[in-house]
Amino acid sequence: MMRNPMYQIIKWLLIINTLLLLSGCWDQKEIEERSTILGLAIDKAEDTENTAPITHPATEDLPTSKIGKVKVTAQLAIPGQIPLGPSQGDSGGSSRDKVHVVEAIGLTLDDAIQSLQQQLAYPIFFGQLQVIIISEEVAKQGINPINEYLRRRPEIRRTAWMAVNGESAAKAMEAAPELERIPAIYLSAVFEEGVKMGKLPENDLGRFWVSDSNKGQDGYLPLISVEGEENINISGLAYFSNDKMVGSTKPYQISFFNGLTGQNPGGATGFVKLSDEESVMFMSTRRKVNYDSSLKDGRPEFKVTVDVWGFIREKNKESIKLDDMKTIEKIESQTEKFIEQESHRLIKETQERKSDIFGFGEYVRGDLSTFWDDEVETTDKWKEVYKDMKIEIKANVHIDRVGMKAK
Amino acid sequence: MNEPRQVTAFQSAVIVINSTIGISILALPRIASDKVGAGALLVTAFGVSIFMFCIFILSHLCKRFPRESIITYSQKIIGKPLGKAIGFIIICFFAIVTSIVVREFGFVMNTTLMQETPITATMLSMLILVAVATRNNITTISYMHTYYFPFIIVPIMFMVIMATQDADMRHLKPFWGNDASFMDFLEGAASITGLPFIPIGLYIITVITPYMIEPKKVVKGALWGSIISSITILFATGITVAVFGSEEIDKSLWPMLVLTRMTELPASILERLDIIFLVVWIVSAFTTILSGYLICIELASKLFGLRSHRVLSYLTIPVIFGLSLYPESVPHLYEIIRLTGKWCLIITLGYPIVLLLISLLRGKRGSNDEKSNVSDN
Repeated sequence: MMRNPMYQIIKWLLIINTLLLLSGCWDQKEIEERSTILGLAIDKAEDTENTAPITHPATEDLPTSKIGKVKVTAQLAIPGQIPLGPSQGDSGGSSRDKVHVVEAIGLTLDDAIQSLQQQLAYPIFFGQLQVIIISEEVAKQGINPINEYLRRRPEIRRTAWMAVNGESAAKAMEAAPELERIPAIYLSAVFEEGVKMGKLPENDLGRFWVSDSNKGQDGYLPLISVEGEENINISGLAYFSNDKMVGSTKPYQISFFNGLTGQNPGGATGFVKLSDEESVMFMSTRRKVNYDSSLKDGRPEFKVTVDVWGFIREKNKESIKLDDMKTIEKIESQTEKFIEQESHRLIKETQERKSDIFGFGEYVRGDLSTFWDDEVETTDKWKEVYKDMKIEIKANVHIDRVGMKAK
Repeated sequence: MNEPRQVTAFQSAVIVINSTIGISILALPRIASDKVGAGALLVTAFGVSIFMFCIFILSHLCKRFPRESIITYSQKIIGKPLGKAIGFIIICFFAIVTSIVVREFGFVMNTTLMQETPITATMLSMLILVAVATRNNITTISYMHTYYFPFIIVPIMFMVIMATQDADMRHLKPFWGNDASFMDFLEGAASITGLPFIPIGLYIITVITPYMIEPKKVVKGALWGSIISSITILFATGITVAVFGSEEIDKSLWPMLVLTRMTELPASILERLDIIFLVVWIVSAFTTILSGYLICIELASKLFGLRSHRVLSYLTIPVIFGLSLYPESVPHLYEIIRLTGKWCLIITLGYPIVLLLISLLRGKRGSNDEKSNVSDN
């Protein structure tokens, strides 16, 4: 055996080195030992409801945020229940069994989360948060206090979705659709697939925050409603003015919003009336939009050109001859009229409520910067300008396919 | 000098790039848009042009004294006591700047990746790693930089390309910002050049020039390095502004880190890829701290007349570590960065200009020993 000192040194160095490798485990955490929150619902709690005195003494008159007391409902993943990878055969139980729903009330959002934590043994983990649902009531009070908290947590991803539920947000957490194994993941799939099908504008949390922050733009969120026990329905867009929800669109208006903001891919279907008797279904495939801003008499004016490509899905009468160029042209011009009319109505509605969800103000700030610097500067002043700004809309519809049927 | 002199012009460019792109870039878009809003890109362009100008001046100075350290030739130019005193101030300045980068690195790691690891553990292991690396000679260190170079530049460029799909060009307009005065631009550009990576990327060339095969090429190498790193910084800042807009950037402590975390491969191959991208910032922090640390010990070894910088490699750890413990909180750290940034231009721009002018007036230049004497041109 070698007994020289070099050998000894190397031997001891190796032993110490293996100890260093162990340091990687010092704060290891098993996946089961975390309370993974997949979905979060935020409601307003009644002022009379008592909060658990966890972060504060049980006294009166503690300052809350402008929302007042909040109730959070969280959907937690039950570790052993969530099948990894494709399930073989029957995974057993309904989707409701895979998650655990907990609720808590607090003075602020974090206070409520803390009281939620009090009910859970393992530390709350937000890294897998998929959806945040807020009730309309909270949205109308202003959502800055909620954004405040979410922005501060480093593990919350900007790819999560935020949505407004018409009635109580907690209801959306309890809905358990059978289509997906985990309800919160189904909920986020509703939004993500909606974007892919062109039925929803791309608007995850990150984008919402950006448009909410912009001086010349307001945020919007998808509005959902729970149908029955288990179905989630997208029922429009909730739009904000500053951080308060001021109104909502009808579901069909989402496609006009998509057109006006040039969202791609297309995919929205419109019912185009040709005459009193005849109608076709038109589906868009691609959209392009161009904003032309100008100053007239010291006021900004916009000319918006929307280009839509699409095809015919269905006709209601045999009398419509789809093999005739004239009919196609007629459908095109009718669709154009339809788009122009409806886009106008949508803009009008947002103007009345001073909510610039299209970001006209950002065009003004960028392209008419002298006007912006001299007359606008703040987001509140911009809303006053936006309220009665003249916006002209021109639509160009290009029908390039009619489906497999010849006529 | 008994060390090998094998640093090429390409390697000098790489070292400048690696030293410049560091952890402070994560906060750069916020600092840039602070005063001028949408003019952030233009302010950054101003800032990096000042940097390139500094590089130009300093590399010409290095070229005049190809085989000497700034500590030695500054004594020749402005006299021994003054040269030594200013040399000492520069060393102190870089000790502070390096410790700032170490602490910033600690904070970024602490808030995002390793929330439960004590910040001292993160910082100390980085410092020890850097100290071990500086036990090598300058040629080996330049090889290290060359090795890490693609791991820094490629992922950042990839991130820029991936983020273009989320970009909104409205955020970049108007190019000159809303209601931003010329003074705002000057102030903004000054605070960018005051960020720790600028002086480190600059003074590292004074350390490597004596070890280059052809020190005359330092001007070319350093300028190319500064151009490439400036372009990278401009692209990265531009895309961050385009994606978030200046209003949203103001709300984020490290906007570019948020952008990094948003990076996803197309078609969601590997969904949580952001961790891999975060590693880029660790590598870039390492190369920046390595350069800053090297400047400290190399200049100090020349000032105290030591045989080699290696003597100080381990002895400097407690100094830098102690200094890096000084900031109390993240806001305090950025306050310190702002304060050091104010004095930064005197050292990065003022001092080299003064040295270059006086050396031109007094006709001082260093000899290019050991090499075939290239006639003056």
